[in-house]
Formats: sequence, structure tokens, C-alpha cells
Amino acid sequence: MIDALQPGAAPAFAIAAAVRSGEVTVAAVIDAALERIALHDSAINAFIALIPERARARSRQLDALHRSGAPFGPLAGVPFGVKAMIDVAGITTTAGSAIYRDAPASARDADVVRALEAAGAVCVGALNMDEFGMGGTTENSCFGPTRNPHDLSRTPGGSSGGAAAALAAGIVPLTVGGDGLGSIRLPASLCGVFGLRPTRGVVSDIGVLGAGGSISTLGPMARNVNDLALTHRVLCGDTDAHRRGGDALTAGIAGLRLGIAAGYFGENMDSDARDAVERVAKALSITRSVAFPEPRRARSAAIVINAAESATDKLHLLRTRLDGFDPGTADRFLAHALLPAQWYLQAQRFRAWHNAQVREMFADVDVLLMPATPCAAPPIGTAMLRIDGVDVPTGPTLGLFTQPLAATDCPSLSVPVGRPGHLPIGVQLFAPPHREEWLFRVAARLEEIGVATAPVASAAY
Amino acid sequence: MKAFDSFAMLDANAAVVGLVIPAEHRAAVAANLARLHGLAQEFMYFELPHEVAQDEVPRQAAQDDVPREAAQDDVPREGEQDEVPRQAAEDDPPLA
Repeated sequence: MIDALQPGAAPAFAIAAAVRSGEVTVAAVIDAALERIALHDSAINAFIALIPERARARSRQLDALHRSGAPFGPLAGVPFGVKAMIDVAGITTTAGSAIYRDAPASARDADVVRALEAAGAVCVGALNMDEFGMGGTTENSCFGPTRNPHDLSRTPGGSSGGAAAALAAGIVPLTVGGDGLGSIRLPASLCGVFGLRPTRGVVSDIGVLGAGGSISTLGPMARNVNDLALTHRVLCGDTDAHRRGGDALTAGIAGLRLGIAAGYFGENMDSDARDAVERVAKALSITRSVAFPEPRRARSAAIVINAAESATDKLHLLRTRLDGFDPGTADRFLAHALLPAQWYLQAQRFRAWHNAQVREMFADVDVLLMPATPCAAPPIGTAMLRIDGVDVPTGPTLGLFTQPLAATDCPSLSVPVGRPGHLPIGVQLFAPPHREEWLFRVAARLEEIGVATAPVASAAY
Repeated sequence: MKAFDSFAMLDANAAVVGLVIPAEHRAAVAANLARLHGLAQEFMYFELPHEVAQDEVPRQAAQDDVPREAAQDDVPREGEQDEVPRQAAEDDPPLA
């Protein structure tokens, strides 16, 4: 039996089932989650704000509703946390920046929080991130760095590092991150959890600090495929998520045409990343190589678009609160604010053309396998990485394989590849727009045969 | 072609945008501009068909972009994924 009072270690679907059966109350689950955070998060620094009173009040309300015969939501009693750029009533939305640390608490919930709570889940707090998402290591947060639960001396990746670390540590079973150039997939890979960048536009970004660009999207993170698929459906507003959530997972991969990305996606990685891709390819009998169109240009276009868009709503802050930024973040936003319109517009034109090329590529393949990160988690503070015998800067390099996909409309999923005794690392699965179901089917198959696993890390305990 | 001067770009564009770049940030901002300039070269001189317009990028991925539904019963034999004949189903419902 799964212990629903170990709410981080237990799957979300199992917690919800235990609540539905009356085996456990929501109040007991939430109390256990808050106790777990209090006991273990100080070593990891995943959570930067908690709302215990709200969470307990909500849990009592849910228990009372259930006693009165009201239907249970698909995520009944499941505790979750959200990246600190997402509004939660009662928490100051900081996006990891000192500029907003003393601002008033948000008066309302973002749409994603509303959707999850409407499905019966209970928000317990906000999760650490690189300041305004400017980073891939969750080190430049005004709340201090988050640590990788698998090795506390290492980065969890970023910018949704808190969301990935909280899962890997077994503190909560569900989190919501945000992904511009890889900020869900990258930390998911380094922390050994599942992270989905959904089809662009299917998850509401209302109530998200810094939203409005054409690259970023929110997405779910979890420690198993079932929880990830269920949460994705809830975030997309699927009111029948509970019934349909498991459909993809039992369908298998029969009929799916699988390929492995060649060229760019087979270079510039270390043996850990290469082994992970090869292990998955072998497990799924993938022999076919597929050329992803113009990966270098796609990466460049995504970075320039994201840079220009990220500075747009910071212009006033750059004029009036420059000292409030982390110096490195300030340098980047100042540069981003100075980009010529033609760089941005030509990048968008390239993007339109590139999306058409990607759609053509998908005429011959359904799901593409590629590395998620070029290496496992480096130590916190690492300035240079050695990849394929070459020293390269850490920041730009960690996103080498997530960034080329960022300007596409397509969903991509980071899947943790089990490597007992080693640091975790993920692979990426990539599918056409609105085909998250195909990604879940492949990931579920990998989970079923033991290739994909997201064990709770022991380093934090 | 004239060599790219990131400090000249910094000064000119900061004046246009109305931003003051403090002295302690100038070198790093210029370095960031140089990096972004290098990235922009990847697509600025890439020839695109003239009919490609910037406004073709939709706010949300179009539902009709979905190419096909993979048939549940269309089981490829091991190692033969690329040999299975394909046909897009017309009643292919989008997922999300």
C-alpha cells in the first residue's frame, strides 16, 4: 500500500485515491506535507514562501465538502507548489527578485493555481527560481541558491530549480514550472524528474509575472508519468481529466513512429548524456535517425526573441530600480532592452519558416528522441564545463538541447533515465503540437520497463 | 562589412530607448550585446522565402497543425518503425 502521508514520496494519483476511499483526510495529507517541508527543505531551499494557514483551511474545507457528499476532484488532497513567478493569493510574487521581496502579497491566484485547486489539489507554497527566469542553475535568486537533492553541492538546474528539487527530494508530488528556453526541461533532467513543456498556448499564463511573450509557457512537473499526464489535463482545463488521464498510459507505443535526432543533437554532450540517449533508443528499438531542421539557427532565433521580449516589461524597473537586480541579471536585461527591432522581427520570420519545416519533419515521424542536457548536474558555482574535451561556459551550454525547440509550437518532455549510483540525467521527447499524449505514451513505456525512473533522492535526509 | 562595435551600439541604442547604462555595467552589457550579435548573424543573413511574414507566428499553436493520429493497432515490428506506411486520419481530434 502507498503511504499517502508521505505526500512527496507517494504519487499524486495514489494520494487522491486514498482521499477518495476515505483512507486518509486531506487535512492529514497537508499536515504531513508541511511537516516534511519543515524537516527537509532547509537543506535544499526549494520553497521560498509557504502558506500553511491557507493550505490547512483549504484542506478542512475539502474534507467538509467530501463529508457532505460533494464529488472528489481528480487531484483530491494533493499538495503542490508553484514557481515563484506564479501568483498565489497570500504570497508575494517575487520571481526570485529582491525588487519584489517587500511588495504586497498577491490578492488572487493565477489561473493554473485555480485550475489545480478546482481539481482538489492544495497549494502549499512558492518555489525558488533564477531571478526573473534569467539563468539555468537557480543560483541568482535573492533567496539564495537551491541545491540538488541528489547531491547538495550541485545545482538543480533552472530556472525552475525549486520546482524540480522539491519533487526530487520527495517534499511534494506535483509542481508547476515555467519554460522559456528550457527552464522546465533542464532542471527536470538534472534533478531526475519528469518535466513537460506543453504545446505553446494551451496553458493559461494569466497571473504570471513576466508573462506575455511568445516563447514561454507554464507546465507540470512530477515524479511519474501518470501524475504528469493528469496534471497536464487539469492545467489545460480538461474537466474529464480523471477519467481520461490514464488513457495514454495504457495505450502503449504501438503505431508510433519513433526517431532519434541526428547531427546537432548527437554532438556536444558528455558520456552521461550520450549513454542516456543510447539506453532509451535501445529500449524502444529506435534505429531511425531524423534531421531536425536548422537547430543552430533555431536556437539563436529563440534566444534573441526571448531576450527582446523578456526586457519589455522590465524597462521601467531598469530605469528606476536597477540596483535592485542581481548585477548579472541587470547586465543581461540592459542588453536585451537595446536590441534592434530587425533582430527580433527577422528572428520571428525565421521562426515562422522554421515551424513549417518542423511540421514537415513530423510528416515522417511522431516522436523524436534527443538529449535534454549535455551533462548531469555540475557543482554550484561552476563557470566552465568540459564537454567532449572542450571547456565551455556553463550557462549557455546547459540549454544547448532545450533552446532549439523553444521557438517551435511543439511540446517536449524531459524524461529521467534511471542510473543507480549516478547523478540523474534526462532525455527529451519531442512531438507535434497538441500531441502531448504521444509523449506520455512513450514515457509511460519507458517507465513500465524500468528505464525511466524518478526515485526520491536520499542526499537531503 | 564593418566590424561590429558593441559599445557604439550600446551608446546609440541606450540614447534611443532612454536608458542610462551606469559605468559599472557598460563592459558586461557590451559583452552581452556582442554575444547576441553573434547569435543574430545566424538568421539575419539566412535567406527566407519572401512570403514568410513575421505575423505568421500564432499566439497559440494552431489545432489544424496536428498531422495525424498514430493508429493504436498499427504495430511496427521491432526495428521497422520507419517502414510502416502512413496515412493521416481525417477525423483526427486535437487533444488539448
